[in-house]
Amino acid sequence: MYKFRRLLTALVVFLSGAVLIPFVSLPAQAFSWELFADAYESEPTLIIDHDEGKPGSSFEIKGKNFPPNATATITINGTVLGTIMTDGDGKFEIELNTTGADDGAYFVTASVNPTATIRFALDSSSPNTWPSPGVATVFPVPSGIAFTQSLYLPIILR
Amino acid sequence: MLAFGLPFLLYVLTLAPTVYNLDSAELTTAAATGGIVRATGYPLYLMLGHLWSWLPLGDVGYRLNLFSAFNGALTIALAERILRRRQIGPWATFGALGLLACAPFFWALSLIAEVYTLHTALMAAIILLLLRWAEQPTPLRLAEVSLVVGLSSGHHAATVLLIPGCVWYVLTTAPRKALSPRSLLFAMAAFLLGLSVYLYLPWRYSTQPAFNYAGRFDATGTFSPIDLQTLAGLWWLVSGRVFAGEMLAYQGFELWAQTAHFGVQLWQAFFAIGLGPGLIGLALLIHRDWRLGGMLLLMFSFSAGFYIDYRVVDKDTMFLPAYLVWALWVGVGYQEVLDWIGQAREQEPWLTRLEGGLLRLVIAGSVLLVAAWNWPLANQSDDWSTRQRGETILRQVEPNALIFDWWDTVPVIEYLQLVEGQRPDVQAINRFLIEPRDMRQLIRREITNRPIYIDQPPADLRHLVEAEPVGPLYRLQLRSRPIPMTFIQERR
Repeated sequence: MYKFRRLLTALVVFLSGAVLIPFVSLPAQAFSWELFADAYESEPTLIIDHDEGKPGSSFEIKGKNFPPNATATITINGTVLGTIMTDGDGKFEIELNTTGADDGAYFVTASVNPTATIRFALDSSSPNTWPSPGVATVFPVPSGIAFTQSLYLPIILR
Repeated sequence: MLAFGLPFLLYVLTLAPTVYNLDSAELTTAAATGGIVRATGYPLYLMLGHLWSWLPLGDVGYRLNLFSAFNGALTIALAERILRRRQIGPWATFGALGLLACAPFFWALSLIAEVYTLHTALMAAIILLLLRWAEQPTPLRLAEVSLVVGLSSGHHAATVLLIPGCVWYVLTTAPRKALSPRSLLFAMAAFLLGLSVYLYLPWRYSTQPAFNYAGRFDATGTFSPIDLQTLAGLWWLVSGRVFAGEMLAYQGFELWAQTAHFGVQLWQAFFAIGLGPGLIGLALLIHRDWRLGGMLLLMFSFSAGFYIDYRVVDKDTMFLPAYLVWALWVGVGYQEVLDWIGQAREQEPWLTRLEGGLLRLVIAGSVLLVAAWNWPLANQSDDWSTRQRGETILRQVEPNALIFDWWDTVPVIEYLQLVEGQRPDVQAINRFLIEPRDMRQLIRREITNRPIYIDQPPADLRHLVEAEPVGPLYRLQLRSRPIPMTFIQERR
C-alpha cells in the first residue's frame, strides 16, 4: 500500500468530486428546446385544468410570466380570495374549492401589476365533479357571488 | 488536427438534422435571408452564418447547426493550443478538453444553431493571442488581440465580461509597451475595425429584410422596425436594454441559491471528475504565473458571476465561457499530478511507469465514460420535431391565415416560408413582438376577414370568439351569438 501512496493520492484528487454524488445528481436531463419554451412567453397567463364542473369540484389554476417573488392578489367575480407569492420564475399554483358555491360563471383574476383572468363555470347538471389536485394553496369559493343573469349588448364591429 | 477533428466528428454524428427551435430558428432564418434578429443583434454571427448557409450540405437549418459544431470544435482546438503553450502534455490536454467537449451544455449547444460556441471560439482566440503577445509584446500583436476583442464584441455582448481579465494581463505583463502611444493607437484602431461589424446592421436595415425581429407590430398588423440607421435605434438594439431588468436580479438568500446552482452545473459539466484537478490547476496557475492566473480567474469570475445573477430561465446555456476557463485549469491540474507521479523512483522505475500508465488510463477512461453517459442526453440527431411542428401547422391552416404564437412556433414557420418558400399566403406574428392590447384589437379587426389561429385563446375575448382546436393551435371564429359582455351578479 505504501508503495502506491502516490497513485492513491492522485486518484483521490481525480475522484474527489465524487464525494458530492450523494448530494448532487449526475446529468440526467436530456437537452431539448421544450425545456426553455416557456422562457420566451412574456404575457402573464392563467391556465385552468377544467373550465366547467359541478359545485363541489376543485379547480387547479397555474399562473406564469408574472413578476417573480411578487404578491399576487386572487379575486373571483370581484371578491378577494387572498394572496399568493409568485416564485423566482414568476409562477404560482392555487386550488379553488367550490364546495357550497353556486351555479354560474366565475372569472378568476390574478393581479400583481399585470393581471390575467380566466373563466370557469359551475353547473349542477354537469357530470363532472373534479377532485382535489392536491395543491398546497387552497381558496374556498364563497357562495353568493356567481354570475348568473346576463345583459345582452350589441356587438359593433368596425 | 485531432483536437479539432475528434470533437467535430462527435458533433456531426449527433447534430440536429434540420432547423431547430426557439433562438435557433430565429438565427437560422435571419442568417440565411439577410434578416435582423432581436437584441443584441449578433452581426458577426449573421454575416458568417449567411456565408455558411451556402454550403451544399443538407438543408439550411442543418448548415447553421453545423456552423455551431464547427465553432465548438474550433474552441477545443484553440484551447489545445493554449494548453500546449503552457507545456501541458497530450494526456492532460485530452482529459481536460475531452471533458469540456462532452459537457452536456457545451455538447448540446454545438449541435444547434446558436451563438454560444462562436463566442467561446473567439474567447479562446483572445486568450491565445494574449499569450502570443506576452512572448513578444509588439504593438502589432496587441492590435491582433484588440481586433478579435472588437469582432467578439460585435458578436456577443458578453465579451465585455472578458475585458477586465484582458486589461489585467496586459497591464501586468508589459505595461510600458502596452501603454506606449504607438501600441495604444494600433490597439484602438484594430478594436474599432473589429467593432465595425456593427455597421452590418444599419446596412441590412436599409434593405428592408423580410425577417426582422427588431421592432413591433401594431393593432393593424403593420410591423414598425426600429430604425437602425439612427444612433438611438442602433444603440437600443446592441445595448440589450430590453434585458436590463433581468440583470443583477437576485439578492440575499436567492443569490446564494443561484450560486449553489451554478456550482452544481459546473460539477455536472465536468462530471465530478474535473473538480479536484480544476481547483489544483487554478491554485497552481495563480502561484506560478499570477498574471495569467489572474486573467483567467477574472474571466471566470465575471462570466460566471454575471449569469448567476441573471434572471432568465435558460441561463444554464450561458455558462460556456466559465466552463472553458475551468477546462484550462483542469488541464494544468492533470499535468501537475502526472508530473508528480512521473518523478522517477530510483529503485522502482517500473512502478513509476505503471502508476503513470494507470493514471493516463483513468484520464482517458473518464472522457469515454462522460461521452457515453452524455451521448443520449445531448444527441439531437433524431430531432425533427421543430420542422414537423411547423409543417403540420402550415399544412392545416387555411389560405391567408393569420397566426399568433410564441418563439416555439413562429420562427420555424417563418423559416419554412422565407427559406423554403412554403405557404407565403400565411402571416405569422410572434406574440413577443406585439402588445397584448394590440393583438386583441387586431383579432377583432381581422376575424371576419381571414382565418385566425392562436396558441391560447385570450380569455377576455371568449365572449366574442369561440376556439376550435386545430393541431397545436386554436382556430378562432366569431360566435354566431356572442356570450353577453356583462353579467349581473345575483346574490343568493
